[in-house]
Amino acid sequence: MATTEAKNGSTGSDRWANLPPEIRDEIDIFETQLRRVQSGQTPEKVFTEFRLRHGVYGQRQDNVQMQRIKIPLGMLTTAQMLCLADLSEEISDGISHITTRQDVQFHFVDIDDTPNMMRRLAEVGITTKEACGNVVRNVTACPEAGVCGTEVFDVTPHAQAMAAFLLRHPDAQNFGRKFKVAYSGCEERACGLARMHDIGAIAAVREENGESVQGFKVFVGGGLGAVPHQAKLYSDFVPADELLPLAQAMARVFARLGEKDNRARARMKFLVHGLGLEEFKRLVEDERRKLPEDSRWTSLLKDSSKYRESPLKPGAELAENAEADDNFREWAATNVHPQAQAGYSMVEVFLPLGDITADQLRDLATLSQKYIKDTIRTTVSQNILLRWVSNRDLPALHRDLDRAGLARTNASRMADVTACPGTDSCKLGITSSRGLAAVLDARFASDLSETAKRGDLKVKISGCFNSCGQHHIADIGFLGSVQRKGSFTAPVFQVVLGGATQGNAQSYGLVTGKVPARHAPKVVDRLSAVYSSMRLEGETFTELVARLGKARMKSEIQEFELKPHDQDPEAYLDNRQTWEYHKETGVGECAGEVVDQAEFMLEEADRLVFEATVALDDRRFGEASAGALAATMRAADALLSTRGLLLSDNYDCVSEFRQLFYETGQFHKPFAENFFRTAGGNGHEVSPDESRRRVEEAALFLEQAQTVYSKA
Amino acid sequence: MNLQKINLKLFLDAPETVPVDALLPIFARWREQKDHPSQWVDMADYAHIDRGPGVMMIGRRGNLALDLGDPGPGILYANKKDLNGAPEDRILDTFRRTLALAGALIEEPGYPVQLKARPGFWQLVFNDRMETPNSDATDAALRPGIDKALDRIFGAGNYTAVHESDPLRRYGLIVHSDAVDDLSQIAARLHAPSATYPEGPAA
Repeated sequence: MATTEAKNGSTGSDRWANLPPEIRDEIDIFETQLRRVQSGQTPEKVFTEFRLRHGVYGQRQDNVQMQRIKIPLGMLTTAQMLCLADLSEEISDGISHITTRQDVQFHFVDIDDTPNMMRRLAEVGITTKEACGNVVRNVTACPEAGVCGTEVFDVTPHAQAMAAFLLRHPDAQNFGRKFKVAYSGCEERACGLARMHDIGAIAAVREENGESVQGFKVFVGGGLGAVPHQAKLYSDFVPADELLPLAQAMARVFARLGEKDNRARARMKFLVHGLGLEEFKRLVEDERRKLPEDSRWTSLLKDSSKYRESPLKPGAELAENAEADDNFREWAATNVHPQAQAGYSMVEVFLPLGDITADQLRDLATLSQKYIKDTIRTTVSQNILLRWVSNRDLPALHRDLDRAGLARTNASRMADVTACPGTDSCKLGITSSRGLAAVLDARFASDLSETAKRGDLKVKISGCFNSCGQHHIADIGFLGSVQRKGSFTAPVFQVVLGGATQGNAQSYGLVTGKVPARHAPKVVDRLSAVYSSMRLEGETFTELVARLGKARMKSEIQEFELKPHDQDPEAYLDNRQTWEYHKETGVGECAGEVVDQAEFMLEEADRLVFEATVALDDRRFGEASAGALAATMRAADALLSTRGLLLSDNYDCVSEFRQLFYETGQFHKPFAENFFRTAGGNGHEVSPDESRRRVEEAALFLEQAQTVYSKA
Repeated sequence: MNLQKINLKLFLDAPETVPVDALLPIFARWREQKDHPSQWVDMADYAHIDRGPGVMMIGRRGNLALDLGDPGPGILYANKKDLNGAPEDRILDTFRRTLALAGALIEEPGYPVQLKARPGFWQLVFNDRMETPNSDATDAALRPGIDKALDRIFGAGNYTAVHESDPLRRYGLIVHSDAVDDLSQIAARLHAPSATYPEGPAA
């Protein structure tokens, strides 16, 4: 058990006894490391990546954090919604922000509030572990999975199994960058965005021996960012029970061969591109053959069947007179989608800019219990989807949502703009993407109310080239930048046209012009008008852009380009800002710090030695001895990892260390011999003197390990 | 009980569409005050949410918002730290901080004149469920301190303080008094010498 200060607040030492021991320890360790860095005992760089791996992300503003909370597949129970609502008002600014990867984020969090926040989340089965950093991020999936009319099969249990399998997996701890996995139930629709992920899995079936076998069409190496890559088809069909080991093999190849030094080229898309798909496949297949059998490959899939949902109420038809209510009719036309199951609908709750207040989230939890039993899903459009709503209940649900301020129309229509945090909170933000989204939101509610209803155009906004707003896959995408004229600098957006979310993000748009941020709403209005007036029958906006050409499209927005300051001073202000614009960016944490796994393990060994000394002081001699041995083993593991040994290989630490470091003379022999002697001990009770000696030996071993590592 | 997170909302008379945008330039200026006791971090703009937090100043010691949330619009101060003493002292200090900030905001030239403070209408919320769950036990423990604080501000028997009964919400009270019609009356009572502050509390 890690030592912590104030971990239990004033509520008693057994406050968290209800948590699983391994989760309690994990959070205790986080708190210990936080206190250690605050007292200068842990290097800032190692702690930064450590806290990122717990979802704690530095904001643009000093000394406040963004807390990302992993929500696999966006699935939230009512208990989880209530917990998030409570935490958002107690430690954040009262807002839960839904991200484009189905996570929840809090902003302006004091890092001292995070350990108990993690414990409270753990009580309702949520972890923030590996929400940020160079690890496997939230596993996303089509929010309609299981109730969609076009899906091949329900990907929910498969995606849940993947999320559980890769979380904390030892083979997924040594990446140069983040790693993202997405599932989709069908190929045509946009919901899963599988083709812009490191691994994208699209449900497929194959006939084998007269039986239908479930599997996945697998894409690899996709991603947006400054250099977007369309994912490449890895396999037409991977049997469902083979996907977890395949992902593990890919993780091992990525960990071993992925770029570590140049973070701008460290995503898997660059590895796949650099090696070529065929060589990448050869390496993965080779790795797959070498993998030790893991029972979790199949057991997790069986366990995950518990995520299958069932309705609260019987399916029933909508009352005949329901459509007489104009408000209901308008809302139902855009926010209600038929479910595959007769008599039921999905209801999409449109959250402006992905934000929901604590009161609204609590109300939504109550409504979920009233109408659909329990689970809702967040969507990649930053909304919330209620499933299994009996059609007969739709009018009542609409009234209840309206009372909660959650019955906005035009979900997933043009009015439903996607935006990254931008300069509001992100260190990398150049322009106010949320400011533009808020201005568009207001205009869609007033003078552009007809345009707002369009279902054939999507707007997405990123405040910088890192593409968190997914501007590449929008019909109309905006990418934040700056432009200088004379001595004045204006916030501008590059206009990216021709992307598509359809077909799981099948095409990426290209830059077609650049306009001041303030004029971006006019560009939206103009392009919408161009599409209406010039489209051919059945033609998508992407097809229109391709047909007319970039030069023609550019000419349509040319009049909005930046003019000298004296002709258009307002163009030098950002959206929702009346003050002068200054470009201020910092070093982002999207890429995390590249911290070698060995460095993490040495830091862990250091913490274990520290805890052993505390145990010694408290006269807990058995605990001190055990801690000393654990520290020594961890330091040995750290050095072994530099020789390519992976924890998941279940190697014999003592024997491998003896062979690779002791017999080769690369480690001070007396210290190594202490280790061998202690590790070979018979577990008898140790005397206080023996305990003290072991702790001292562990400290010496660790010091020597750090020396050897620094020379490696 | 270590009460640090105490929220206090001064209700406003406001038009149906609250002109929150008027506060953007004010807060943009305020955030440059690096040595302000609230330890400003930045502003946050949630004006796009109909009954949300409106426009906020985020501070390390406390946040200030033109809040649009239920039960109605108001100037909301959310204290986070640096409270000491008995519960009544902490509540009184929260009133002082709220009044100082609300007063400064109302005096700003750009502050919308349509937003009128209602000095007799407040919401007091204890924003820490681990310390102060919304329970009868919390009510029993805190009521004496709350009463002492409100007695001092409004005068004993001159107010009502109705406990938030929904257990899902934080422990808090809606306070109503007809005994005050100006914020300066409250400020004067708060800054008068007391047992805790024999020479009057620091501004």
